[in-house]
Amino acid sequence: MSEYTVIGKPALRKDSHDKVTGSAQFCADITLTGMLHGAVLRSKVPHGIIKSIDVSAAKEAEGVRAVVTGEEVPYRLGRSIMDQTFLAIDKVRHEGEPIALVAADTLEQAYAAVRMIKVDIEPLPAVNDVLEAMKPESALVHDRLEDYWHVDTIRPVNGTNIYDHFTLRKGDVDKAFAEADVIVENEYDCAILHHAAIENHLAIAKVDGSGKITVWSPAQSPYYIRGELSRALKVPENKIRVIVPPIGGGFGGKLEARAEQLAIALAMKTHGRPVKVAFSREEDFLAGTVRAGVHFKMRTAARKDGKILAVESTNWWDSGAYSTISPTVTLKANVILAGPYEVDNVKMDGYCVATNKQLGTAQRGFGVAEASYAHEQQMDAVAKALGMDPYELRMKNVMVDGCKGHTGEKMFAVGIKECLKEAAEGLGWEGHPTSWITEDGKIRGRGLGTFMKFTGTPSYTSATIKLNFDGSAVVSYSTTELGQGVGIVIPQIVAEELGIPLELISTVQVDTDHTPLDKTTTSSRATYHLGNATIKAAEDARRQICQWVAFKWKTPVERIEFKKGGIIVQLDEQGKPTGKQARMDELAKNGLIKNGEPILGYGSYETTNIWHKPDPETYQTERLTAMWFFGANAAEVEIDPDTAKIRVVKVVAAHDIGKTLNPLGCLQQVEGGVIMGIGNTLLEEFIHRDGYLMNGNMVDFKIPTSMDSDVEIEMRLIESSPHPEGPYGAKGIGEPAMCATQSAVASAVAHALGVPVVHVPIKGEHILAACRKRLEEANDR
Amino acid sequence: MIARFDYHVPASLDEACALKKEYGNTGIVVAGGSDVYAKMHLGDHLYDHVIDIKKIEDMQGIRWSETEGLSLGAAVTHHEIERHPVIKERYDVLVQGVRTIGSLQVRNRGTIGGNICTAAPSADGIGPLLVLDASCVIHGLGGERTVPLKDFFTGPKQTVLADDEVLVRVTVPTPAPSYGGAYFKYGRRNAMEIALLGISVYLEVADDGKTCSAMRIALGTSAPIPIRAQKTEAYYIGKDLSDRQVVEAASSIILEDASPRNSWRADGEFRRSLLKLLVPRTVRTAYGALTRE
Amino acid sequence: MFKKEINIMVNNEHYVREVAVNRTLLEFLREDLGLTGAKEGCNEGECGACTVLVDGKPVNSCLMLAVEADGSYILTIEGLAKGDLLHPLQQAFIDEGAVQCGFCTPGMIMTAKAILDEYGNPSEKEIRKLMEGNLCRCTGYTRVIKTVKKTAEALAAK
Repeated sequence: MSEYTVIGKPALRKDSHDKVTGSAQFCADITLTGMLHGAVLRSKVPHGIIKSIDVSAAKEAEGVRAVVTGEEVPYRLGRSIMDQTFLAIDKVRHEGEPIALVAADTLEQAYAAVRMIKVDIEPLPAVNDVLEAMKPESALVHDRLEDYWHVDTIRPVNGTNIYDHFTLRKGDVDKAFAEADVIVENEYDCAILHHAAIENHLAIAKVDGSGKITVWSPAQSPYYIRGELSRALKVPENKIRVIVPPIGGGFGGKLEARAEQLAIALAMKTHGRPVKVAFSREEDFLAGTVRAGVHFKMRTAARKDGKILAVESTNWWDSGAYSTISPTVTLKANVILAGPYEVDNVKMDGYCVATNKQLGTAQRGFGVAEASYAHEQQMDAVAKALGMDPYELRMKNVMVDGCKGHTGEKMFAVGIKECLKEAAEGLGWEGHPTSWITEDGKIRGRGLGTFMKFTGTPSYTSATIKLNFDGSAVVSYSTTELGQGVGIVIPQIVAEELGIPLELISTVQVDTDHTPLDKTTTSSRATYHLGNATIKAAEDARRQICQWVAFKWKTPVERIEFKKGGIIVQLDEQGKPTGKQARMDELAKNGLIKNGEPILGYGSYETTNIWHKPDPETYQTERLTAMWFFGANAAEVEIDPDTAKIRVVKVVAAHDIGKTLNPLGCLQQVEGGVIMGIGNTLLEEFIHRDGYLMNGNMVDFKIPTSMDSDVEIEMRLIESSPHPEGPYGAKGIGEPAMCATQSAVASAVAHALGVPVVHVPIKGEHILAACRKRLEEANDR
Repeated sequence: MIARFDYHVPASLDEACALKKEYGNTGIVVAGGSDVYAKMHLGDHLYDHVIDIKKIEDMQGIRWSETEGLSLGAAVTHHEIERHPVIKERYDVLVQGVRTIGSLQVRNRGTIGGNICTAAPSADGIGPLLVLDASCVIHGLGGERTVPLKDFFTGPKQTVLADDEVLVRVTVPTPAPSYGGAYFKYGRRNAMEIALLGISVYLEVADDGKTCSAMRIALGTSAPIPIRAQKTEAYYIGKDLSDRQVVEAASSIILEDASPRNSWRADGEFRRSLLKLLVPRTVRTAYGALTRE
Repeated sequence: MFKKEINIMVNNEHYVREVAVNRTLLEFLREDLGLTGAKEGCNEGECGACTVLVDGKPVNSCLMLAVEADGSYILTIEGLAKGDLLHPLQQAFIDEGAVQCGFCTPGMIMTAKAILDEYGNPSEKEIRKLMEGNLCRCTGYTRVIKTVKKTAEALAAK
């Protein structure tokens, strides 16, 4: 018997009904009275000097209400470095960068006017490659990085293309390498790829007579965007309101402001008329955001018994024309680049680098999927060098409770061992070869991928619960629903805590003027952070309910007990139940809170106090994060040796969830994460030539279709390491399945073919020769 | 958002031909629109005139008889083809090809005539028709002519169609009672793909069930236009198709027929390696699919 | 001509409207009729978010002109339920957890409806093939395919 009534049971999301009938109103579906339509003139070249812009014809064109160029809106954006203006001024730094804007009565008129703008750009050589960008003779994307404001936690290097140089130092790496029995050294790279949510970026903005700016946008993190816009525009945050309609997919891509600032720039000139700016798919590829490309140099030292002694890496992140939050991606990847293994000596140098390409930013995992791929390829290489089973090698080294993490902190609630064991077991690892040929001549392989990740800290969020007289409740918060299921797991918590039926609990549209403060919807953090805040809000509501019941029953409040399941009990002076009780699910009938003051429970959760600022050189600290979480995927692949096409046959995803709150929601996140991870690993990449994007469309940027997704997926949720501070012990599940898929699939391919996978996505041309060789070897036997 | 254009719906072939001639490069002939409207969406003004020919009576319908063979109206959709019982039974290689075009939604709009006239080297409908020895019935202001499909393409996205000509129908002779056909498409995804290679094979064997008596191979995305691999075809005639080594030996000849180029989608070297592996494999598949009386 | 009058049935309602010839069916449905269930995801016929049924056949409404639909019967996601009674596919998408962000969902359901109408009770493999033109980034398709299959079976059993 579960100790919970709602928690841990599958619950259906509340927004599905509107989504299956077409009545859910996404941002694109909103038309406001008097709304104008914006269109964007974008740079056709990746790098160049703007010689002149002539908007005179556009201004006179039919239906045009406003035209804006860069100099009119010289506001700077940038969470890490304020290096980005709303529109290009003087210089363009990537293909697709916005240069000028038009608002007109119809979209057709806006497009027509944009075509009338004459812009003269003198092309400059494009900084096209991350390693080239590091050379002293490289052209500079930003001439003077030092002129920009930046946060004090990063270190831009003046006169270079380096946005940030992150360092982590633990132990004595040189000594460890000198003493090692085996040293494995490899380089790996991952292509740039796009989030490719089915909904493109868009926003509607309106500026009223008092100067208040209202923005409707599918912003993952509306308070983050509000803060960004406030700093850019130098207006107080209370003058900006962000309203979030249902979001058509985010995956990190909707963290940064992309269309918002453009809509605002126009709305500042339209005298109160709202303006909608909606990106086309091509614009979304060129001027949305991307997962940065990365090149890793990795060195791993091991003892012959399999103990990993040291891991060292230098890596370069192709973060594009503006830095956005990409230094954080570099950081997060480097902190865990030695993997979820106990390693005494770690040395990491991560460079976040500017190029004339699309803007690198967060994507589901914040660099951890790429890092996991690199550290897991290293583990396989070490296993091979030592003649050890890859599973055994990993099991020998996995972190355990009480061990010292890569940042020097004492680790707790470490679930990796159980995850790895379950993943391997699910695939039937023991005694099974990792490479074999099927009867019909296909090459099969099995592999493992582990990961660890920390959630962004310090952080904060809050929730309110309003109780209605009819016994229903409304819970408000500003963590957004991107399809991940926060809109059901939070009501589940309210139902559990207050004993109100789940169907009587509703949620509120996120709106920074109405819903309470929240840092961001990223980092697998919603259940953990907002769950905790919601539990506190429920406690607060219970306290208020008890006050009212005490008043109605003329009983001292100390003798009112709120019991599990929402039963309110009167106690006698000895603390024994008197028999008088009321039920929360009968509030409508029992009238206990009727006609009283409104009951509004408030709860917040923040992690400032538990965070200890890491040393900037070594990144060692007492505690880095509120929550570490772990996971392991095991994968089996089949490769057709004639085509070098890879089919993922099965993935077992074992994840350290701590406590499952909604198994159905977890299943959706895991299945979706695995397939997205497979897309990242086998299909998706940006292809550039001299800074120009070749494949910015849905045909040539290949996200998986239903025909690429026929994979047996087995989910195993590991509850053996509950988080002592998590709601009911829960951790996060948004990123995990994806974080460990790239590494597991690459591991399986590497095992199948007997060669390391050094480039992701793994394309036919990379492995065809290895396939033929593998086949010949098998035939020779 | 499609830029503004003038829309014409000719009711007859002559009317269509006259409009096509009149508007020349400023006009575009459209049937299903799955290629044309996607391109026009990009916002740039591409055409002043759209000539929508898909309602013209002569371009409609699928006709078939044992003696006359198959006649496909140019406006027949890919989905009509893939669902047609006779085509499924007698011209399966064509179904295999058109089934890989776009999606169900695209196949409900896209037409076989459009697939041919767009003349993309990657077109999945063209290769199977090439190996089935199809011909094009062309109408112009001066009258009608018939051109074998293999002679229809004159250069990258170029065809024999004159300024005043449109494709009306595609005719396909009745294949031998016993033949083997196969289409193999190589793309990175398993759907919604532009072929990086498309291989179509039609073969017949002698009474011994294994000696090749007819072989037609068409290659997509292997040259600037869809081509027949004539040297490879010649190699196979008289060979024992049940002998795997004999079938695979063609890999040394195939590159005499094909010249896949380097592009950002895939480099030529990789495509050449694939051709050498996949042409024999598709021949094997076709041999395995021999229909027997 | 730059504009044309069209005569069209949409979700059992009859409309006679003058439309610009460069207007897509998707734009006509969303902007002229206010039926915003079908979504624009790519305008290139790849993502399928704009799928509606034209005379029973699923098409990408972003690649069809409104004037081409003259004389046709259009069914959009808004017309699928009978009053408050959801179509079995809609109900199954809710019950089986086949909806996440929901942006692709209307297109998915319309394609699925057409598949069940045309093919009856296809295999899971066939469903995968026929749903190839509806891209989804959240679900990984697993729930979607299972849901369509389950509904097909339930309807076939009736």
